[in-house]
Amino acid sequence: MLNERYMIDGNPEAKGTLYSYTTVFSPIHELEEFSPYIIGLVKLESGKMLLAQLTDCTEEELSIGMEMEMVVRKIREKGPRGLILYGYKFRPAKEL
Amino acid sequence: MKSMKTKTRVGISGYGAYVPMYRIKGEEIRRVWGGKSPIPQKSVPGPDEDTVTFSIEAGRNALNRSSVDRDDVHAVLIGSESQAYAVKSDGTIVAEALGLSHDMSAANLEFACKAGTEAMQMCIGFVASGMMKAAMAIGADTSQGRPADPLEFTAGAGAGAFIFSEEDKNSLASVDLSYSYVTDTPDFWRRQGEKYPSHAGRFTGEPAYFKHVLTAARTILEDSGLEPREFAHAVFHQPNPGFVRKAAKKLGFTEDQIKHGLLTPRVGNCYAGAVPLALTNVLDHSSPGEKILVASFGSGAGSDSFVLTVKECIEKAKDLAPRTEFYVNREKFVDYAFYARYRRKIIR
Amino acid sequence: MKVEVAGIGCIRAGERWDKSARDLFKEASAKAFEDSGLKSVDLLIASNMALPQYTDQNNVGSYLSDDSFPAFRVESACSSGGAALHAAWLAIKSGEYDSVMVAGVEKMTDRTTQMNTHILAGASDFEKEAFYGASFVSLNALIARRYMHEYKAKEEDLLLFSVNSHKNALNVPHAFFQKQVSLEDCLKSPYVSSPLRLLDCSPVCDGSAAIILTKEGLVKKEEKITLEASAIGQDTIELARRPDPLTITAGARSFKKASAKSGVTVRDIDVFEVHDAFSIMAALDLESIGVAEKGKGYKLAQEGQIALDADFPVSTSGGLKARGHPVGATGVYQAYDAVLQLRGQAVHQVPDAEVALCHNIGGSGSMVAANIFRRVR
Repeated sequence: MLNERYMIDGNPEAKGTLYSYTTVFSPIHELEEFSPYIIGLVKLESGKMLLAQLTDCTEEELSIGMEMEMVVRKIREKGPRGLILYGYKFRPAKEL
Repeated sequence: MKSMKTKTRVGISGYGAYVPMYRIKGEEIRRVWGGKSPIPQKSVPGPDEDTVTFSIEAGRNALNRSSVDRDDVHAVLIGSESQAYAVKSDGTIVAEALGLSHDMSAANLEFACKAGTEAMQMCIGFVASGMMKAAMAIGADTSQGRPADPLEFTAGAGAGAFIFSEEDKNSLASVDLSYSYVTDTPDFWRRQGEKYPSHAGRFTGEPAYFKHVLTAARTILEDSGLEPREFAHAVFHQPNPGFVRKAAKKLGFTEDQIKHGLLTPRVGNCYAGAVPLALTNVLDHSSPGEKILVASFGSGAGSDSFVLTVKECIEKAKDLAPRTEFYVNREKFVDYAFYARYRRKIIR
Repeated sequence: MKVEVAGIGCIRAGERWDKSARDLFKEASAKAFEDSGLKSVDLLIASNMALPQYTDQNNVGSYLSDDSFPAFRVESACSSGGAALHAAWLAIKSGEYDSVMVAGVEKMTDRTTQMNTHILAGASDFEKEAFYGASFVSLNALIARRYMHEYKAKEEDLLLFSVNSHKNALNVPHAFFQKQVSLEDCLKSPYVSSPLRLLDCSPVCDGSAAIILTKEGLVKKEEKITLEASAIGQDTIELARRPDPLTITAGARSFKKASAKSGVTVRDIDVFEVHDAFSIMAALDLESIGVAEKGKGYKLAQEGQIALDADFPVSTSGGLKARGHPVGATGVYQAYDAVLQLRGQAVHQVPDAEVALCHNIGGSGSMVAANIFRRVR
């Protein structure tokens, strides 16, 4: 379902803490243009845990336990003629 | 009177901005291609960002500042020169991602750098006519600048979103007047299928930008009965700071009046996102009772102008979402190689 | 009625550019037939994870058997082999079949590294994990980083499992790698998905292994070796949905069931063919079996407890890391290595090996097959 990718359990502004992360040097098909990229496990405020790509950050800036917030970004493109698939990612939470 | 005045008064009930975090210095582009940059730096979208993702974040910020019921928003009109698809409206995705109703009007708009303010005009119309309670207008762009062309120095990326609804005590600002002025002027264009725009050099100045911006601004000023000094802020389309200062001077606005509305030196010219983004920064710095003049410019060519009055509720709305300066100050510099990679200027 | 091992056979895992999956199977199965003295079997259960993606071939059972004997494929990603053994065990225990060949085969080298990454990601929850960019290695890397954070393990501690596996593969004729690696070599290898390095990860390779199981007494053998117990343990496919991503609950469940059925406890086991696809997996697998307490698995290698002459010999022919991990065939290679040990025919023999455990993990821990082999005197 498309909706499921734009929100997490109906919440478009989900937040959580970083449980673990890794920089992927051998990318998945259709994600080569983002390589190397970072994925992580985020423990949401709701208690549920989720795997997501981490964006707007480098591995050096991350630490286990860090506050993270959800954004919607491009996940992958099905080639130059195919659909652009958007979905949730997480970035370090803004310090306002 | 040429300016458009709505029968029912319309207000801005929410506003939101987005600028990506990456920047490239003008010096760095000069290192690769020579030439001279009119601005120190510009913003660069990250590899996983585009007009859709900008619009989602700016739209979310606007919704968070607004007191309207999400379910009452029945339009998401996005003006851009860099829509995600040539055919498939960005608004369809943005409306879904924001959790808005399916009872919705959601077309992509194009009019070069004034597509965003065109969206604003239409949303004002939707609301004033009583067709819907609330409508969202977004100007968002990742802007194209051909490598080695002077435009590459200034083509930046950013977005501004506005929610319009009937003016009431919760409005953050009222829309007093608006006006659109259009002629067939070939200053800057992009053919179907082309990756980068073409432009006519110095012709983009007097016969294009200045003719339309000054006409639209003067017309609305006359129709409003107001003098420039009665405005606290003026926002002009900003392909470079020099054009803005010259237009301001010709119209009688001071440096102080234009300062919050001029973001190009920090983030570049965000094309259809430029004026909307600048307006969000002005609203962040405004106080109740202040008047704002807005005059955008879209090549091809035309200008939309607006007279707005800031209302009481603006103060408590400012911090309900990240301020524009938060995004402007969030900077991570990249070199030309990463810039070219993120902007897909490298053939793979 | 016991299930007995009548014959085993395999080919050396490696880059077999000149052989198709069918060729690989023919070689391995011929050896198993020769070893057993049988000319045919009642049923072939093929174990294979991804022949359709690697070579566009579905209908794998028929592709391998042709009209030789009834055949079908069993698939559960990396634990396909263990699952196929379980299916064969059930077939014989039910009394419906007297002899069953379990043959694993995987042909991975006809696809590029990028395509391999894509195909192997199919072992994860594609919608929730691979779609967002999680390669299969990266799931293990997420586990490794958190494990290191919580239990103060270091990269070196985990890499020692790889060092152990390579040591055990030296001179083993069917092992892919026959070269030792030092801890220094391991630490110099590049990150594949931080903090896992190239030498934390088992290789992509082709391979085939076969084992013939029969009802008790069908074939007279010098050494009577039984498949004493076979059990499957299950957990969520999506890593994030496990209550504790650092525990292979499916492995604890499979071992508990197999242990209960056979009466075999951890102390009784002489040979541990665990799932060392990644160094972290080896440590966690051993914890799930109960060889080490939770969070202490990484110390086993460091403390020398998994060496051939120690209490818990692990990966005695090199395991997945050095003997090879042709994914769908691995579970059968584990059985092959276990039976060699129980027959006293292993290159690096565990003295007087009587009981061997094969623990085969599918996905990032979604399903584990436990198969316990015993030599009966």
